[in-house]
Amino acid sequence: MMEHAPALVIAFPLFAAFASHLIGRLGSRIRDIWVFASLLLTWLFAVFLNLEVMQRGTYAYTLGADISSLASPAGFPVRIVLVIDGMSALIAFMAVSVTLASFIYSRRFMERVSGGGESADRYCSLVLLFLAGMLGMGLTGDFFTLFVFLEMTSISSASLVAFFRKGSSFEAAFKYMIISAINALFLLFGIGMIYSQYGLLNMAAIANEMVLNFSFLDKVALSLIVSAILLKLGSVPVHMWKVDVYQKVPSSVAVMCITSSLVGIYVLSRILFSVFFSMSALTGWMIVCLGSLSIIVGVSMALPQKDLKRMIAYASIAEIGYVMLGIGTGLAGMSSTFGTVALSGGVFHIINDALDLGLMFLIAGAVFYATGKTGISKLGGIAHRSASLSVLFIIGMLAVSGIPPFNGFVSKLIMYESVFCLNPVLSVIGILGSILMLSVFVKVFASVFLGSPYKGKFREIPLSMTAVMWIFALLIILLGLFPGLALDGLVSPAVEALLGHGIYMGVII
Amino acid sequence: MISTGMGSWSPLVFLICVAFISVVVQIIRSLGEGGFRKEEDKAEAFFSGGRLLIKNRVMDVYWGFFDAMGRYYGWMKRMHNGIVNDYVYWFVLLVTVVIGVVILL
Amino acid sequence: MIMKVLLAMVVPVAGILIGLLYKGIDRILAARMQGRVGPPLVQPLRDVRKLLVKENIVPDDAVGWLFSSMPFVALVSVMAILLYLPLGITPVLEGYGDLILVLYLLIIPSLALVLGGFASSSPYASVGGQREMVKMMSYEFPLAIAVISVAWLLYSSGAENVFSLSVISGTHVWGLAGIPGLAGLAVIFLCMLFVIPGELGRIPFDVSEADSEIAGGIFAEYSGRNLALFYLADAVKAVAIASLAVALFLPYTVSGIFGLGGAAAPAADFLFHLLKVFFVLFVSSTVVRVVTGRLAISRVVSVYWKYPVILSFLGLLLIMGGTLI
Repeated sequence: MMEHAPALVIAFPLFAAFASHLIGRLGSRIRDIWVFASLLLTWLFAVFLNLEVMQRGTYAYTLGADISSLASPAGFPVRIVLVIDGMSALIAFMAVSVTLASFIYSRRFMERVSGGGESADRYCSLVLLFLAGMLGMGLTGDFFTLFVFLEMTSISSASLVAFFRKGSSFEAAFKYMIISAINALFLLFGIGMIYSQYGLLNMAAIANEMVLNFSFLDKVALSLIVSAILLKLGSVPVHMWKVDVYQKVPSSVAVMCITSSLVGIYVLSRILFSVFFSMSALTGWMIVCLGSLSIIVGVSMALPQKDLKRMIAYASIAEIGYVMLGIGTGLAGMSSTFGTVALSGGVFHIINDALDLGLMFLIAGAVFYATGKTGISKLGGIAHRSASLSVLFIIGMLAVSGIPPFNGFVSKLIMYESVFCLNPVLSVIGILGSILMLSVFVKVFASVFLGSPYKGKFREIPLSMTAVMWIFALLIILLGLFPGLALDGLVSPAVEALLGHGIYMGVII
Repeated sequence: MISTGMGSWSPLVFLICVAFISVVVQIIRSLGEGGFRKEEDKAEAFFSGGRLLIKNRVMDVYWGFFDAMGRYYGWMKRMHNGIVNDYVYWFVLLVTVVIGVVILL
Repeated sequence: MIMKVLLAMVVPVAGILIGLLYKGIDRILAARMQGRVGPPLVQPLRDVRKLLVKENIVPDDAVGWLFSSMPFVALVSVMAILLYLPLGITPVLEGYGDLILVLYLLIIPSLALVLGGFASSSPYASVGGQREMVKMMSYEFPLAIAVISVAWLLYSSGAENVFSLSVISGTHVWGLAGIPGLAGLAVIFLCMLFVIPGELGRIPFDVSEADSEIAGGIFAEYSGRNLALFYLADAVKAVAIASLAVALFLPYTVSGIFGLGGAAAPAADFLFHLLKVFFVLFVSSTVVRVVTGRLAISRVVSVYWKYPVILSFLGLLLIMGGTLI
């Protein structure tokens, strides 16, 4: 059964999503146990995938074939093929781990803010669907499956945005649906152009064909696909929907939304590294410019915000900018040492971004749970009521800004010391961005946590929420203290997998 | 201990040194007085002119920065107006720029 | 190895004493320039001893654990920076930390000041805290450009390990990029000297601790041993930032000229380094302190983000042009 892990990792959450609604009829405890067990099982599958990749290297899995790794029985690929390599296994593992943590956190959180019963059933199904979509996008080997899972992610996250049925949530969900419709449309348009040219949908097979005859239409298709994915990521100049969405989504889901943006980055790098690698210098520079703009706009717009979650949303736009900086330099300098180093910095920053900003959103959720407010003008002096929450916030704040000895510093160090070879101004923008990010979070800390003691109602934060937050903080500290382990074990296989487009093609053909 | 091509960083050595320095600083700190004799109103925040009427409202933070960057922020806030049509216009602009760059260069 | 461990223990403590010495010299020279006599050289040491005897008052509404731990964090972090900087001799923790680390570690003392100010629950301290934060945002821009420019210059002239401080202080950067490079580096050195009073909170950039405007600003509620620790942190920070400027731009050693060897060489280099640090601090901090007035906080932002940034970018362009020739 373990040999079918790639398919099960996607299929099982899908099945569990629909089953959880039925099981929810039996009682909320049983449903919670069911969801937790299925998430745990998916997590084990993802761990198994990672171990397999470390052993075997890149491999393919064809759905429904007799021999699962035989992707092209007649010289061209048939059936849905999933390709597991270092990078996709890492992203899948991250997605499942974050969802598992977010579910443990959300049990008590959703009880308080929405009341149990039907809406909780809905929440569980939507979260599992969201996870299945992310995993599908992360593991897939062909374009059309990518599109299908992208739609699945958009629909489930749009429902989650509108979860609290208030006017502002509906407005955010409406905006998000328009954006995701445009996103999917342009992606499909680009895929259609490629299909009309080559008659193939499998990414590696298309890459193989493109080596010989790369035409004008391919360039147009590339631009459309890249624009669509940039829209999904939330890079400047199409970042504005992200802020509205992150503000209205429940905090535990906000953590998953960050991960879905990071899956979007994975998709971008997969397409640009393994399929369109002949245009790597040009696309690399484009990604680098958009990334630096994202850093600048993200931190500068985060400063004047008055709502806690909007601020963290703008900060996440800036962090995506950092990852784009790393990946873009990896593309532009694909044949030199600094490119490889920058790419490993970017990939490590993906992990750090999920942890750091995830912790920030969880803390924002905890503050909302305890006080019922998210506007920073109404909060203040929370540190007097909950010292552990403020310590967690300080850890998260220092990690996001990249202060040693936390994990953010390591990935930023690696990026600065390689990106400056491409252009020194990029490193300067990075350093400036990190100091401005620090000022954003110091403002939040001072407004929300410090000051005279908080006079309003302050509910006790339940153990499950605190435990998940401390697990995130612990991971931040551990990754900061032992960066070598993460770099050798998780990041290097991913970097090698991205750079080895020959191996990627060889697995399918 | 990691080393990029151009530099290196070892968190463990850093923490060992910080631990040692903390001991030194703690020695210096312990040379001083720990507490204070509690008198009337001694521990109230200093606010020349008597009692503090408004307790801390840390809302208008970073006034100096926003004042100095006034024009930039005015422009930025006008662009981020929350209307979906404008979001789509920005996307169309992005597609145009990307197509232009990819095709012409 | 034993030598390294011994140095790692001695250097931070020596940093405190040297910092207090520089503070004393600074006060005497500033006083003479203003036509006064000035306090004796050991006055800063006496100030610290006085502060240690006073009561340590913690305000009622302050977040106690944060309020009391911030001075500790400030002093520890700034002493740790000294271990990574070349003080005439090679850095004590050579190979374990580089230039970017020093740049980020310099943020921590100022951050401790800001958080301490905010934790004081005094309106004056909050204003001081946010002013300090805005000041930090402002001067990091030219500082970052200066640091990256020097590293880039070394990289494009083919050096290995360009961010390692021993490599930077071992290479003479002034001759590497021809005449345009020399001009560019001079401009960037000027901007770096301009950053130093901002980093140290000296006039014209002492907005955060403006005695006459906001009653001491960040330090309004601090007293006793906490204030003593902040005072010491300020003294050591002067040594740290000046040593960074010296390491980047004035990396010359004396022992080569005089042909010294053995144990005399590091000692002579160390003394020469102290001389260079004094020169940098005198030019950028003491002289500027007595001739200018305080800048308003919005001015601080524009003063740092207009001219130094433009000049530094100009310097960077000159350097890039110089390497192409």
